[in-house]
Amino acid sequence: MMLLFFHPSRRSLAAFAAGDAFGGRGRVARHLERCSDCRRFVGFAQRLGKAAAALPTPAPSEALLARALADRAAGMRGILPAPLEPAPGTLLGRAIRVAAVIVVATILGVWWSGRGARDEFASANELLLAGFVPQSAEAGQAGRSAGVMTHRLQALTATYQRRFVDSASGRTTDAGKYDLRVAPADSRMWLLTSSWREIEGLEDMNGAHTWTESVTVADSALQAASRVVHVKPYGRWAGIAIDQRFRHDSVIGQMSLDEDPTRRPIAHDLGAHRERLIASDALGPVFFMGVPLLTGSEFHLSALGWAVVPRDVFLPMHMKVIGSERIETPAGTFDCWKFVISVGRETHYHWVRKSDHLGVRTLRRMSDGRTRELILLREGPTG
Amino acid sequence: MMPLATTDPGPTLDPDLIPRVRQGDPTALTAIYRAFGGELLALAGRLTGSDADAEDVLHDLIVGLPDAMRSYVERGRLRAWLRQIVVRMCLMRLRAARRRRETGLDAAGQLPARAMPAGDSNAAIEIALRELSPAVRAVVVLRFIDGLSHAAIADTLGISINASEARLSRGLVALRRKLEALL
Repeated sequence: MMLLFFHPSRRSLAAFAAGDAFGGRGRVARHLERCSDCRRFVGFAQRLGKAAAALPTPAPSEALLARALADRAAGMRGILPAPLEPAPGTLLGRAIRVAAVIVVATILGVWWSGRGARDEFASANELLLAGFVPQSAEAGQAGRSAGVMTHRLQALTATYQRRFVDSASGRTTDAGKYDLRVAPADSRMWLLTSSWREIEGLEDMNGAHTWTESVTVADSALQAASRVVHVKPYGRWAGIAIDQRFRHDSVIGQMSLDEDPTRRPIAHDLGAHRERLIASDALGPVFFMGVPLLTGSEFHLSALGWAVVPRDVFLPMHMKVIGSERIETPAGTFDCWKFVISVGRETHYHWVRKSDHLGVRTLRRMSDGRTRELILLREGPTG
Repeated sequence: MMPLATTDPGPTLDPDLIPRVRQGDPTALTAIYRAFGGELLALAGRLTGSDADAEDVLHDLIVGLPDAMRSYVERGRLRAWLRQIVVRMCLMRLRAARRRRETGLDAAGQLPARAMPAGDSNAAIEIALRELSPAVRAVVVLRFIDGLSHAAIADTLGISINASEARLSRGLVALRRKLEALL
């Protein structure tokens, strides 16, 4: 009878109820013959298991299906987490897997740390630095500390040329094209898609051949809902994908590698950056559309990085309208507002045309004496 | 005794379906939705404890399925593959929600308590599951409804086997308090 005072643990009883094989199964069985309390627990667990397995399945709504298909048709895409591989059955297998994870994590940590250090503002970020999200366009003009900012996007397509200009010889080298498309996704959302092609300066785009990005934003506030980036290849990887969703005051999502099971989560508070955030490179050329500008307008902003590692979440910048200039581009000659942009210790220049505030040129002086430019090549309405 | 949702292949589907899903064919996606949508919605609802989150998961699954399916190797395990993806999507959502709560961004926090309907054991089980903590609920659902082993649950949730067993035990004790009179 003394045995009755030493009840098996609830964990053992649950394992017994589930039919699991474990060392003490015989002892539990013998205990149950004499202990009604433990029998009730096991009986309950078994009844619950059967009842849970028989729970009815709800009918999924046709409206939900229609919404998902409509979102796909409108260009929405998402990156789903990969299913896990089957668990190794041995301790050795488990140990090997843990070691592999540590090695991969270490490599990725070095790689990601290096990503920002090599050239934080290379490639698509050039265009990001061309647009912008002033919390207070009016503040710059009227001296107020803050103001409600509204944007006014237009459906358009635009192609930019990326080129290097040698300051000594004046020789220009074409280094790729950047296509941007802005289209309404529905009555209140805009879908912006951008892609690089004919990239030639591979070394400063991490070896990418294609670099595509899409973002959905809501009406006049341009509040981001989702952002997807896909770069192929990326360094020594076949490709990398960044999937970000914006929920309340946070950005969440996942980084994944093509042909590689490695995944890394994205989860950050947007915090105080939220009101001054440029959520995507694709917004760069068009962000000023609808925003009033005057000489002297100043903006303190943050560009959102891929947000996979802490150092690549927010990129603070200061920009100021310093005057007017007439700019010649292959797409035409435009009267523009000229910005100076300070990002860390670097200075960039950017021009938006006065007629609609579309970005038409961005310039960065390189340490080797060249300048790197993005310049409007052609534009048109959305087809 | 355990149901094995992960090993049941599910309904028989047109063999051309998967290539068509990869191409984003809406009729193929509709076929997937009709075949598996209900059970995936139920799984997501039980894991997240929220009908709205479950619908978001199913929506995102359909939107992202053509791209994801490029990595799917057909071995007659489509149902298990879809369930695994849904489980991982739900876990990502729960982690994000937990983080919001930790930073005070999600005032709604836990699920609303609902009245236990008398005499309806299915509804009572659903409600009792939702009232478990997300961490415990995930183990109970994966063990009792998906039929995963503790080793597989530990891998899926990123916890130890001991932790999985302990959470199941805690879940059973909590569920017994609420449901024993009904079952």
